[in-house]
Amino acid sequence: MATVAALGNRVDIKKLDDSFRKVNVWAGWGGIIFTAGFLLACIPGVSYQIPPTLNAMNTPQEVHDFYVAHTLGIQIGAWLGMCFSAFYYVWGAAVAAMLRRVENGRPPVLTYIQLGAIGVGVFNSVLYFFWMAWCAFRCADIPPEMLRSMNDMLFIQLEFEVFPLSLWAVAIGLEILLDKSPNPVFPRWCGWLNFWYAGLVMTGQFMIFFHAGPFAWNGVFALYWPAFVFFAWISAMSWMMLKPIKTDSGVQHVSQELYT
Amino acid sequence: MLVAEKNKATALDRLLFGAGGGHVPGEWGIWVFIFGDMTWYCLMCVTYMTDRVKHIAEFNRAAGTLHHDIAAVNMLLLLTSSLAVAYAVRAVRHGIRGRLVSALMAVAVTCGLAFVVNKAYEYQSMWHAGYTPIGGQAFYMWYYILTWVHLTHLIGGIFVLRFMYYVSKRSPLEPGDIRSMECCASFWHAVDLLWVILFPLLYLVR
Repeated sequence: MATVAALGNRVDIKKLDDSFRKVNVWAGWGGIIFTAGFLLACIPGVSYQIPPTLNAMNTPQEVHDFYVAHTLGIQIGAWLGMCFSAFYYVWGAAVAAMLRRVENGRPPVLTYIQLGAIGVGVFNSVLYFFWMAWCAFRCADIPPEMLRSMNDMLFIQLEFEVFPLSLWAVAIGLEILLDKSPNPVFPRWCGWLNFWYAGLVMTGQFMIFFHAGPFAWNGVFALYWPAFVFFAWISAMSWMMLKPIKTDSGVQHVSQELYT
Repeated sequence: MLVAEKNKATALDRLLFGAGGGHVPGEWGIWVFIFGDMTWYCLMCVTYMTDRVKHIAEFNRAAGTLHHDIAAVNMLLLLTSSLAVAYAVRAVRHGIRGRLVSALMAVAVTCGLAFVVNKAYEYQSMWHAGYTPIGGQAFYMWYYILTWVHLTHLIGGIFVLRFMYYVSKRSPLEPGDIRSMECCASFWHAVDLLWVILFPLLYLVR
């Protein structure tokens, strides 16, 4: 059986392949679990965030009344979202690990960009639920004007802090298109999908200028379209992570020596 | 069709174009990107038109304050650059290299840069006249956002053209290089198409 020297030990390649395959399965499901969990935490009946019950034109008293009326649901949503956000990190780290071999023999700049951006991406999701919990924690005692500003911050943080996510997707897309191996990790169209996501997830950034209309934080171009683009991207990438394992082709056929 | 492309024809190519010839420019992935991008732009345009119907008098009056002459010149610039890019790709596909391709690419990039200069002047002029995106008038919000997003595409496209020029200089050219050039050209044509839609929508429709 073929073996390679790795970290000073003799490593069984078949075992390494099996281990890598299992990791990919878990990581691929990680993306799907995160997606489902994030949406579950935000739906009406839990935290009422997507679609949002509030909008940027609500009076402070309306925002205050909303939080007081739905405190427990919002807290449960924040807790669920915080837990499921952990899977986002697993997923992103696995994508970087799968694509690392593309930079074999070159400075792994794109891989490191991904690793840094994963932190920002998870931070974005975690902080969203953190602010949500903070708003609900003492909502009955907080002055309505302050609570409205805190609620605005919740959405500004979610929809405005997206440029690092774009850079992350550009790094993934470039690595996919640079993959010249006979059995590439991801098909080339996935690279273009990443560029599509990188460009269009940023449309929400206009929300800092508007309180009403399609570009306000509850509008179609600030919330719904970026959310659609994000979940389409993570779902497609997760599915493609699981597919090579099902069809017995792809990453597991690549020499694992590249990882040692 | 070039021999190398015939060998690389996919099942989808054969389904669409038959066994005789034809192929998807670039690769399928670039069309995932372009159609995805266009979907978003279509959504923007539909929302703009919906908003326009609600405030038709205000939109018509505001559209009269735009610089139609600059926009028309920009239209000509982009059509010229698209033509130059198309001829550059055709030349390379038929093995013609050297100064002709360099000249065509230089024309395309120059037109793109001229568009950026014109647009900067137009923004500056509009801004000084008091027409800003946050002034409370919906038309100007749409004008700035639609044209700004197009401008970001165009600036990205100029870098894409620069990459295309770099690829055209490779020797010998491989089928993958032709594919890269076609992908770049397709993106530039998409940027052009966006302006073909935006120009009448913002400046001419009454």
